[in-house]
Amino acid sequence: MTDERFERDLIDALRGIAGQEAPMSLRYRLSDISDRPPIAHRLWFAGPLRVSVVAVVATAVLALAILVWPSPDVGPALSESPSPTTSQAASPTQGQSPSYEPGAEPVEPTPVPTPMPTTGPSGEWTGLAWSDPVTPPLTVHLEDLLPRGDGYVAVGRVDVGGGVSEAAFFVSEDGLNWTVEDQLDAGAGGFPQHLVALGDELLAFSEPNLDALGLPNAGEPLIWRSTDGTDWTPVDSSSWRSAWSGLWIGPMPASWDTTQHDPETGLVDVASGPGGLVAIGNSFAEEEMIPVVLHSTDGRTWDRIPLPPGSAGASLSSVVSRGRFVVVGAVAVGPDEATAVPAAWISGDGTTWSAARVPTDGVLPDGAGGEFGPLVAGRDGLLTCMGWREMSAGAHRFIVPWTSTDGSTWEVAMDRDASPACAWSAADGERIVALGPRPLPTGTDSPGVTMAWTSTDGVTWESLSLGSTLQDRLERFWVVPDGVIYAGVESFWFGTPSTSR
Amino acid sequence: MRAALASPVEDRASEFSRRLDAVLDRSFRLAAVILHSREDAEDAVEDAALRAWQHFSSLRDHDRFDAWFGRIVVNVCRDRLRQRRGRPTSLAFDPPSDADPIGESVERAALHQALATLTPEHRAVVGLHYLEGLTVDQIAERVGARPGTVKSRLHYGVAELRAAYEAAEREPGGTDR
Repeated sequence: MTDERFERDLIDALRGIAGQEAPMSLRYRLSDISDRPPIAHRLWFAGPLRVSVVAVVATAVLALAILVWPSPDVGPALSESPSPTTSQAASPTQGQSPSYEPGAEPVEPTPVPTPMPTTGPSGEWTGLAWSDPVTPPLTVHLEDLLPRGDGYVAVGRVDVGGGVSEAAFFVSEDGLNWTVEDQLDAGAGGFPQHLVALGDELLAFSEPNLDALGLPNAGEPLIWRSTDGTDWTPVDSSSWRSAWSGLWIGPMPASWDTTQHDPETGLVDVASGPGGLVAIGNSFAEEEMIPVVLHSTDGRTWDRIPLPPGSAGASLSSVVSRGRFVVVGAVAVGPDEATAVPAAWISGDGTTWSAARVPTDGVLPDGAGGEFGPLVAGRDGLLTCMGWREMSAGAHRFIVPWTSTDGSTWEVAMDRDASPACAWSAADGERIVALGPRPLPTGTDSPGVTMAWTSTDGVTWESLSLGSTLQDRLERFWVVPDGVIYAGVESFWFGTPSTSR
Repeated sequence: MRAALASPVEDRASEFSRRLDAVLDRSFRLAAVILHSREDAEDAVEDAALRAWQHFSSLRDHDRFDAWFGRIVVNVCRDRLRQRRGRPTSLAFDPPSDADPIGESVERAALHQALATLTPEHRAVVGLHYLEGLTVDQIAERVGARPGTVKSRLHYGVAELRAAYEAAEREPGGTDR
């Protein structure tokens, strides 16, 4: 091999990915960029007076919008789905033996208490009215938030230049105007991405340290604690450090076929529930994934908990607490990702786990693997979505919703359209909210929100009327007892619900 | 030269459009290489352009627009990569649409595959170096990393690609056979 030939072929390969010129479609999309008025950051860190003025103006604009704005026609979009609002959607797997029986039998369902008392408006939500947007500085990013007292606490990052982010902790009274309570250099750009409450304490967790492109490099995740959301201190836990030492944290090696999915290593998710905290993550060996499940009663002392036999090659993607802990992901995840099979596990206290029933006979086509994605919990059930790519058919992609009443047995609805269940969704343990339009088949999203739905079980969905279209591409959103906090690429928005009574 | 009767806003919009146009092709290529998807790259560059326009007035030295916008593109790509990690990942991968497996040599096909499995940060430095011809220091400024880190990524990334390339040469149909 000559260097010259290698470099020539490499440049050709790169051009194969990127082409030479930006496509005309992009130029067309950018043609009106400078017609859009620049947004001043006048509302960021607004004081009480300014908040009041903003609230008055927002209310007036909203009232005017409701009066003059035509209602978005959400009916046809729903009716295009085969039967998204019926809970009797046929499951092709009913009555069949599960194809995956990883060892221990699922424990019998136990009564599930309502996980989170709400202080929001009573009655079922029937609509959302978006606030005026509040535009933060470009450098501010919220990663997770919780209601706290009369307001909200959030964790995230502030970009300080040079591609470096610092950990940041925020509070807000209204979910729109946030103040930075603490900002610190956590080393190598680490910043908190998960926020949970345990008793009177708040705990924030970073994922593995991220580099300038936001991908994990190395190092154990970090923990911070606070009792009031304003003063934060690092948690120095030797058992936490020890739990992550010696594990692979970083991008998957080139020998793995990551085209179907790209497993995330290091800390992935944290949940607070009965018996304390459960943190999940992934590492890998040469031939398979290695799941990491950690339990703690106080956030300071952590124990590594094994998953039941039959969980070899497990890749974990999400954990929630809904009376019990429920983890979803996949098993048999190896260098050839097509082997992956969706899987779930349950635990009453986070220390003993059993495999849930996930019947996949006839679900995955030959030559395809799949895994469960993010998991959300409503008052009456749990929802996750499975995505896979059928390798033999090229670029065909599939995504289907799976639901469970208690986490121990899962049902897939192959004939149910993925919208709204597999649009962007979030939940607070009481209700699940999905915002649309659904992700496009290309993996991109249409900008903004033109449709919204709510569900308490992930099966039966009711559309929410929207007073106006929200035109800001989604970064993430949260469901809170009194509404929806939407972090767009440009601005924050608050969706205030209307209710049935 | 400014139009004599143009308002300051028109001036600003005109200058922004001109500067954006000058960097659009290479910004798109950078996003496409990092995200390994042209469709995602279109979205990312549009997001970056909108952010840049809304903050254009805060850019004091307009001659540094190229590096400033490049940094925004990298940040937007970072955000999109992080978003991908929270979603069913079958939605995240788009094969390069120009790949022509029939017309490709075994080695080039191997490079395509190796580039797909390379991490985005390694793809970024490899792309910026080989596609855009940037130096290590220029790449460091563009991606917000130290020059030593860029050197390391370049070394590691190229080593991975070379290994795949050399393995392909030894396969049936490879040039070493």
